[in-house]
Amino acid sequence: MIKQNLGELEEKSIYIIREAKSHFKNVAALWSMGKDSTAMLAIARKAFLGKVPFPVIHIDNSIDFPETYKFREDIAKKWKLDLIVAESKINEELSGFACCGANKTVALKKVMNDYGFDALIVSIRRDEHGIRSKERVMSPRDENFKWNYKNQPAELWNDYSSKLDKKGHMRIHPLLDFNEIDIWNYIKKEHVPVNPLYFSRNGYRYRSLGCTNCTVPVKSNAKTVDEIIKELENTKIEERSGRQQDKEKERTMERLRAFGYM
Amino acid sequence: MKINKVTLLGHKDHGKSTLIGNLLIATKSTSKERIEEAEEISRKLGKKFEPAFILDSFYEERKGGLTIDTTRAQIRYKDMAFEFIDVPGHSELIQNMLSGASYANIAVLVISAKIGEGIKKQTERHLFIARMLGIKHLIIAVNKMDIVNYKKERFDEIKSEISKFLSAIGYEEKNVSFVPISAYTQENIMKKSKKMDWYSGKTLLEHIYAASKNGRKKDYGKSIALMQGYLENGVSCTVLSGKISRNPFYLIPGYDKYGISKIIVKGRSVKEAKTGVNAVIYSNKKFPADIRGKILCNEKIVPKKRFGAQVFLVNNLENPTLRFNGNEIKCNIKIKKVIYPLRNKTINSIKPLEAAEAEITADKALVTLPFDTLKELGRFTIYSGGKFSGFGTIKE
Ligand SMILES: Nc1nc2c(ncn2[C@@H]2O[C@H](COP(=O)(O)OP(=O)(O)OP(=O)(O)O)[C@@H](O)[C@H]2O)c(=O)[nH]1
Ligand SMILES: [Mg+2]
Repeated sequence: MIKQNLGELEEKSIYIIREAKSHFKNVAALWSMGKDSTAMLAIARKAFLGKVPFPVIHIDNSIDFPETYKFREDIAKKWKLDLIVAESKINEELSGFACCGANKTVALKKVMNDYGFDALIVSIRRDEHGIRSKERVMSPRDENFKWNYKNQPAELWNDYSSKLDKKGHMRIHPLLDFNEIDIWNYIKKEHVPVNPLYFSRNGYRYRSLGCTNCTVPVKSNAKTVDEIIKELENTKIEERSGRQQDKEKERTMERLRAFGYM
Repeated sequence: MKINKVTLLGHKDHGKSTLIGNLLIATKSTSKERIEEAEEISRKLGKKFEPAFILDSFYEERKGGLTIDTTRAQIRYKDMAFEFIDVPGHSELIQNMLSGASYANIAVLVISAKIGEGIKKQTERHLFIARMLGIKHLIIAVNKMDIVNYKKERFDEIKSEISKFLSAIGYEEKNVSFVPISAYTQENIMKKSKKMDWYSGKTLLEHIYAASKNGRKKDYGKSIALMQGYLENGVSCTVLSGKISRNPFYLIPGYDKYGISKIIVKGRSVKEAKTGVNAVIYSNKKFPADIRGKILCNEKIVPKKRFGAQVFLVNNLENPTLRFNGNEIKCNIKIKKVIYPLRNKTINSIKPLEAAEAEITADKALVTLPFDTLKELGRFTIYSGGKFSGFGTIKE
């Protein structure tokens, strides 16, 4: 995995977050307590003189690990976050992608409407997935939250689109240029707090945090940020491979157990 | 590691995505999962294995066998890294092509050697755009050599024909290199091809490597920062050139002098902010309310309402506005001389997908500099009623 210049990446993110704040009236950010969105908050604090200047939304399906809830409370207090918990319900009938899509989106739509947010910061990265690498830094979503990917706005240089469907909102992607390893190097350099689920326990760790029902840990002995960086320098496995629960249904429970899940 | 941004260019189906896809596989820069997925989709669609599917991730792209939107992928090469920017070749997708190519400083133009393919309108158009975007180094990759039996004659024919166009639009010979390749069978990409022993030059990657070593940016003498907006009691800004220090600076337009009393970078108070840095600055004198888009400079620069530019149109102009450094300004665009296509020099109007020298009159004075001097103050996009209609670079 290629390590990029952290200073340059950070400057670009700061610029994007500040642009979002100055363009839009009512900005919010998604915070999953995962490494990317937490790193994004650390950058926002640096961009805005030590405090995160927008509310952060946790889409809570109430089945996250206890570690995650504790992390949420600790960081929200420490960083004085304006935390909005949006409750989402697990749909037992659906699974995997359909389930995620249904619940998370319903909950998100509700919270966006209730508060009237016109821009949402989402900490996705291009190297996560082939489709994500097609995203723009600023990307409009329509009233139904749909991404018109076949007709994206022009985005030359740093001329980010500010045009918006009246009833829709803008997605802001300040971490698009980061690679997974850059996030970890940034966490190391800036001492960004890390959700303990990322560190190895009984030979497994989470590499990407999705919903508890659908994300499984991957084999790893990395117990520190340094060990994670070392692991990533040589890996050939996709970051989100732990989310391909459908392929490995039988082994899901085994791995969850190994991680101490009931 | 420094990442050199390399855009692909060229007509649709000439092999841009295939080239990057295969490079990602050959350099082990992509995961097994992604390769297997590309294989599976190729099979399901009844196609031979298409390495392009590693980049072309939308269903419509795979089914239609074309790139719809730009994407990026990185590889490591020796002590460097390259970020390849894939772009669509289709002429209706120029907007997406620009959304990728505008970030590059090197370009690889892919031209298919297959009889009937060769140099097309889009091949030339992409080259012209690269020239306007200030991309100095070009590598012309003559692709699909496997289909023409690796014949030198076909390569020479394409090389001499495209060379004429390149010199007509102002590319210097020393900044352009040529290489015959097969993206599909990987000839002359990473390793010298045994099938083309008549070619003794560098491989494609070696050419990109050499071009990356070449381009060094020279610093523009003045210290300039672009003002973004208020951030609590200060103003956030980006340093475009030189450095901002605790000294008096002109705020332009206006020429009012402001002593800078405090500079905050990433939450810390600093003595100076260098090029590329986003700072928050403070002054004892009150900054004006309409700060966004103004310039802070240690010398006077004359703001202009009227300036000369090159414009490339993507859609029709209708009550156009310029987007220049975060502001949108009404303007009038008067076409002076057609510069692309090269043929219609006598006509004084242009259609979408054509370019011209133009005189622009903006509704208010702007701090501009020639694109060649400082690109951030020398470029703009054009909108008509909210619709993207083109871009331009400032000449004087
Ligand atoms: N035989 C042969 N076929 C090739 C070669 N390079 C590409 N192709 C084929 O040409 C077709 C088009 O290739 P793409 O890579 O999709 O072309 P593109 O330039 O990305 O096209 P757009 O995305 O539409 O601009 C595919 O079927 C490829 O397999 C080559 O070197 N030899
Ligand atoms: Mg393509």
